[in-house]
Amino acid sequence: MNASRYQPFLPDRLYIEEAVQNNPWTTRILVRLPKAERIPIPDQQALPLAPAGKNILLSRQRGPFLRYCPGTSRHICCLYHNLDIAAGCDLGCSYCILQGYLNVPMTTLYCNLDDMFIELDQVLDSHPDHFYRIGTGELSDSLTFDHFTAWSSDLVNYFRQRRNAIIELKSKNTHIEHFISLPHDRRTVVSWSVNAAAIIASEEPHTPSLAERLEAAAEAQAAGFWIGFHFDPMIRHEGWEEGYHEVVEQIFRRIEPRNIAWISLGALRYPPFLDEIIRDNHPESRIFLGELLPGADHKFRYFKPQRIEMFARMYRWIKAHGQETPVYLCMESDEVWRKAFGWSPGSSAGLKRFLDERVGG
Amino acid sequence: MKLTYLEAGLGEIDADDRFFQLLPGMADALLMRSVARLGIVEPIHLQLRVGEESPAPRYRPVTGFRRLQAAAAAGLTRIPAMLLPRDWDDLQAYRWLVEQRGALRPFSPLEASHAIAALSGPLSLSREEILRTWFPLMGLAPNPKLFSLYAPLRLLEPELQSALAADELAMETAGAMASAEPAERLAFWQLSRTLRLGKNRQREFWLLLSDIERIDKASLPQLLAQPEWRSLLEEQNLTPSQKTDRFKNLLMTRRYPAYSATLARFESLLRSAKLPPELHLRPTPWFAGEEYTVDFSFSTPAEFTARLETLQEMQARGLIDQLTELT
Repeated sequence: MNASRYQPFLPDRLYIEEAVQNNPWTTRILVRLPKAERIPIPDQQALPLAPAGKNILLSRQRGPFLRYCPGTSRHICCLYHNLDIAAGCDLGCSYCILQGYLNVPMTTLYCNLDDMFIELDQVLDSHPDHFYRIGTGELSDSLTFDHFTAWSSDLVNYFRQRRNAIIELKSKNTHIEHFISLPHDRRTVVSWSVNAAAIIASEEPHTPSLAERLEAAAEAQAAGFWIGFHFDPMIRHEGWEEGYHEVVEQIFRRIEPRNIAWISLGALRYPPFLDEIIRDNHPESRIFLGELLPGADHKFRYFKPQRIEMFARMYRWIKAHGQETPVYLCMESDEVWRKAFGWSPGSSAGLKRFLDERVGG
Repeated sequence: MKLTYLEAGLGEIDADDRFFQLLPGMADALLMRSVARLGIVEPIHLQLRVGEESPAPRYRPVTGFRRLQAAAAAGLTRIPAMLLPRDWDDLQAYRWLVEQRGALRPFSPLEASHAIAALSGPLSLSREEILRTWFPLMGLAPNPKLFSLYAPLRLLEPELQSALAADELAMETAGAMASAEPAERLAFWQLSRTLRLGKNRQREFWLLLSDIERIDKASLPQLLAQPEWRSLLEEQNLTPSQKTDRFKNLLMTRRYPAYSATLARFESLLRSAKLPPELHLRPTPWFAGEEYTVDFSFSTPAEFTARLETLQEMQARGLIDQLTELT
């Protein structure tokens, strides 16, 4: 087996806001990164402009940690909640929305997790009949910094005790060591973003390979966790049918359908402003050469029949391994659902119900 | 700071030294006539050459490159000049130049491009230093994107630089063209002139063509040499506006083949429906949804009935079914 091309991110420099300097989650990071330079700052206003090297800001989350996923207008959304414990990612994938989305000065870890747990208690306790699917993979990769934060262990421990919520750790990474042996009561879904091998090679060059991700998924399955997969973004490229079909086959060679919480499908899409950013930041990429056209929400998407074709084939390949595995579309219309899958949840509430029921909500 | 007035001999000035020139260009006829009649009215600025025993020529021009050229053409032998302080090095002289020019008006993108080249090249300043210190002196925001956009502009051919200076070429397009091969740039500029493209169209066509080049793995000159494209561009009976519309259709067909095929099928169905001009049937933009919109106008009950009959006839002929299958 070839050596991994992936190099775990290790920051050169930690800027530490005064508000979190004595925080136990900050201390945990400092202990695990003894070689990183430490620079105390009063707040992020004191950060230098564009410092060289690999930098992390340890900060205090001043807004709410928990937010509804923004979704997109006129499309069916799964009514997910994002838990913003970090903003930014080291993986540098060409299509990443974070390139044009974040307004933080550098990759930021919000260390006041004590405030986060208080907020979670308040929200979850005040709506005991509402089931929450919550994830940390919206503004960052859930596990990409976990080798020095170990925050996954706090999350798994916390959600183990909650009956009306489940946490999803969504990642392209393989840092599962801090939670894999913890009791979890199936209140954690560990999920991996996956893609065709050619796309991983060209558009996700700094990530662990598909084989490494599936190896981690198999370990998480063995430890009893729910497993999820996200084919998002699916990218049309030469040989896409074989490429994606092969990923589906590899998944089902390693993971049993009864352990799969869900598989989501989403085709490449981005707001117009990201087009120029991708072209500037990744001139060698070919992803923007697809037939990407503005949709009802003004985002660029593949021409509709092409998306339907991609989703329909994937659905067929996945369902060939049994009907049990829930498959859903991320940010697509009722029409695309019907034409690709032959059925539709009909509404965002319908999709939420469909996914909640799978994981015991 | 003290400038010294002097009358410098033309032979003492190295007119070929363009280090300080912010915008290359030639003296125009008006300046030539003025200098021939009145001589140099506004003194030019010079820097004394240093470091050599008897350097010849003794002076480097800092401002007044066009006046210098006009003076030579007029046969003047001596011109009025202001000498920069002798103890100033190149960096100090350049700063003085930028401050003087920047105080009048913000640098144009081309001026900024030449200044960036001098500052980052011979004067060895970092990108950060140029952005932080020198961009404000030029009247520009210290924006890294502007730096990236402006820096390569001086590589454009003189014709393109002139078009940019005359506001005939869009800034963003010029920036994108600067990173292309010279043959690509010139082919595009020729196309732009043939079709008389405005700045928005230039940007749109450049982007489409750049994408098609990568999709087809062909250069722009190769694409333009294709018989279908070439014959359209050489067509004598079309106005530039008609050519532009047809050329855009060609580009769209190549760039978005699946969408274009659907659009062509839709238009074919519409033609076969023979709708009157008072009745319009439209899909959602880019066929993103599955709905169609129909609107019509009428002024009498008979016209109203006729429009409905037209639509019913479409359904009877199976055209509505074909339309809904299309989306």
